[in-house]
Formats: sequence, structure tokens, C-alpha cells
Amino acid sequence: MIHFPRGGRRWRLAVLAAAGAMLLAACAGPAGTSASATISPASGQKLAGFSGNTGTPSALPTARPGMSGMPMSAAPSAAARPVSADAVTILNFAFGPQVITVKAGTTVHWTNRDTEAHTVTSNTGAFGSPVLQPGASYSFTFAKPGTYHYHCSIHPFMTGMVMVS
Amino acid sequence: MTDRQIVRGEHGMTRRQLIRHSAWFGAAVALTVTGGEVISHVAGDGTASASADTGQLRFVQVSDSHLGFKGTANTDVTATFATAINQVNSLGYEPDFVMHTGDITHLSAAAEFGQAREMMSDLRPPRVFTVPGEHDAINDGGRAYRKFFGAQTLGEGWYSFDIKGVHVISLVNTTSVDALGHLGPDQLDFVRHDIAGLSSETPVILFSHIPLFAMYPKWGWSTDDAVKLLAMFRRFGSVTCLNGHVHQLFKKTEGNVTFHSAAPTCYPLPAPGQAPAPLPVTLPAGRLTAALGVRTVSYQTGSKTLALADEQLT
Repeated sequence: MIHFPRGGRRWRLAVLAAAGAMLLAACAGPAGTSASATISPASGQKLAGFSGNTGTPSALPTARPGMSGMPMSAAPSAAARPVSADAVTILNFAFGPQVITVKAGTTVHWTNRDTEAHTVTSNTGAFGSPVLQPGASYSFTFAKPGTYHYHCSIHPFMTGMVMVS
Repeated sequence: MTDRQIVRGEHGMTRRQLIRHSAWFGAAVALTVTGGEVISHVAGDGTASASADTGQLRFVQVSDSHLGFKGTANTDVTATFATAINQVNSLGYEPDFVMHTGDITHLSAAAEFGQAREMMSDLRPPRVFTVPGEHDAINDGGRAYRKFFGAQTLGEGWYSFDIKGVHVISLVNTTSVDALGHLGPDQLDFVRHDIAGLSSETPVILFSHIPLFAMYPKWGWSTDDAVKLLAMFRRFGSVTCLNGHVHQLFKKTEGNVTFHSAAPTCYPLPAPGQAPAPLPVTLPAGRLTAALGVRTVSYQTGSKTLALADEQLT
């Protein structure tokens, strides 16, 4: 974003004029020739991507979605204090409790009570759920003592930990 | 000069017509590299105005479409993605290519990828490229993504190409994410070999989904081994990193590297630290498309200038 300096009216207009010059050239300029031939894959590679639909006019819908106007939901700031528990609830984009302690051999259950899909994914690949739609559950039995960090692979800022003693 | 004064462009459009016509919310800004320093200035003053020149590279960045998302933040992500595609097709010129910088889908489902591939086949520019977001690589390391979009790519989906004097590298930092983006040693080796014979005068563009700079690590808006990557580019005069993931415009310059985050086509996320978590923001009715957009970028062969313009969805 450009932040205009206070009182910079002349500069604002300059920016608009500059933007306009570019835009007008863009809007009114002649259609370019095919650019595929100008793209060269780097040494030893073949051209990635795929061809665009260069010849067909678009007939795509431009309908505006209706918006609900609902306020943004907020995730609680999860306390990282360990809690003795074998069940974790996924709610508001957070694992709760965020850190649990269990004995070796315990089966831990995660349930997605959120309105969004999530996963329970070990940072080391030790365990991992499929995509958990709202209402879905996942369980894993921790056979060995250790500290197991995990996250949601869809929303990596969601993290949790299982401490197995 | 006053606000009432009419500023008329070369095609006779007034400033007010221009505003109505285009709904710019960024501005055309040229990035000039001089002695390794990137300087922003107003475009159109002889550096970026020659947009009809056939030697000029022009491309479009589209990002974060999240096909399959269901929620109040955007009740029809298909419609807003279709609007973005339509807007690209209505630019009035033919960009050299379109790059989608990831989170094409919301849940990496085959049906979502199939829908995206079909919709993107309507893009009229002659070449369409993509990089995967973490939403495109859920639980499979990006295998489903590569099935639909990974033809001719290397490793987990990275590749590079040259166009009109610019070297472009598309990176994958989303297939082994825990908290932050990650490139990995194989990809860093690929880049090292890729640029080994490249002149330091060559402008370089790096595409990735997750930012290659520490935009807000607390929310995962960073890449843990990006420092190793960028160290390889210190000798280059002009390096521009274009990413998605954060669902908002953001710009940062570090030495010879400039980073630009793009607007999404689905829904906005909060500004860094302005909410407890980076959750989809539901805007009041009628205000969504102003938070969505497509980006056009141009580069004049022989110059050291990149010009970016971010345009709202209309």
C-alpha cells in the first residue's frame, strides 16, 4: 500500500496520472502476440505450467457473493500449561488443551468441534490424521515416552504437544 | 493543481473516469535498482510507461483462491475466482503469463484441484504457472497438486525459466511445513545450480507461496531456511520475491531484495498481530471484493525496473 504524505495533493495526482498512463496503455493497447515462444525453461528442464485459452473469449460469471456481515471469530490464546488429559478439542482454530500429559500406552482422542476442517499432524511424521471435517475425530495411541509436537497442516499456526511419560 | 483539475491521459480518459474504471487501491510503483539499492518511485515517468513495447515482460499474479472453502468470509469462492480470471482476461492486452502463487484449493481434494484446473484453463494468457500453497499439500506432500499442476516440474514442484531477459524461479515452501515454510536442502541445491551460470545483471523473480521474509513468524508467515536461499542472491542487482499466503498486500525491502505479498481472490486475513489468530475475516456486506485482487507486473527489457500494480476485484 502507498501511504500518501499529508498535504501531498500534487503527488497524489502524479501517482494517479502515472497509474492512469499504465492503465490506459493496458486497456487500450493492442493485443500482444503469443508469448509462449518467449518462455524458455532453464537448462535441463522442460516448460512447466500449461497453456492458456488464448483464442476464446471468457464467459465467466461475475456474480457477487452475498456477505453475512458477521464479525470475525477469534481464536483463544491457548495457554501452554500442560494438562493431564486424553482428549483434545479443536475449536476456534486452536487445540485445547494445547499441551497434554499422558502415560505411555494412552490413546489420545482429538475431535474437531470447529466450523472449519483441520488435521492433527505430527511434526516428525510419527502420527497424522486425515482431513478432519467438522465433527470428525481422530485417535492415536502413544506407546513410547517422549514429547510429541504436532500442528494442523491446513493451518500451521495451530500447534499442540503431547508429553508422554 | 487542484483535485478539481482534470488530469487527462493520452487516451483522453479523465482522472475521475480512470478511478471509476480501474478502482486502483495500490498504485503503480516502479522499483529501480541502483547500485544494489532498490528505490521506489512513481511509475510512468519514462521508466514504466512504455507498456505497449513488445520487448516488455508483462505478467499477472493471482493468489489464494481456496476453492472448496465454506464459510462466512466468502460464501462463494468459485465466483470470486471466476471474477479474477475474468479480470485477467479483460486487461486489454495479453500478459506473457499468469502465476498463481498457491492455495489454489482449500483442502487439496481432487475435486477442488479438478475444478481449479478447469477454471484456469479459461485464462487467456498463453502460459499459466502455479506454485503450491500448504492448502494444496495437505497430508500428501503435494502429490495431488503435482498430479494436476506439476507437469515438467522438478523435485516437489519447483522449476525455473527465462523470459525477456528475466530469470524466474518458482519455489515450493509448503510441502514440509510445521510452523514455518520450508525449502529444504534439495531445493536449495536446485537453486544453487540453477543460478550458477546466471549473470549478476539478470533480474530475478522468485515466486513462493509463504513469504521468504519474516513477515510475522508467530503466525507462520515466514520461511525457516529462506536466509540460506537469499544468501545465494546477494550478487544480483535486482531480486523480487512475490508471494501469497498472507491474503493482503505487503511490501518490504531488504538490501537488493524486494518482497511483495499479494491480495487473495478468496477472503482477507487480519494484519499481522491485529487479531488473536490469522482467521478468515468476514467483512460487512459489499466490502469483500475491495479486499481481493489481481496484480499486474511489467518489466522493460534492458532496464532494471519492475512495475507492480495491484487492482481490486471489480
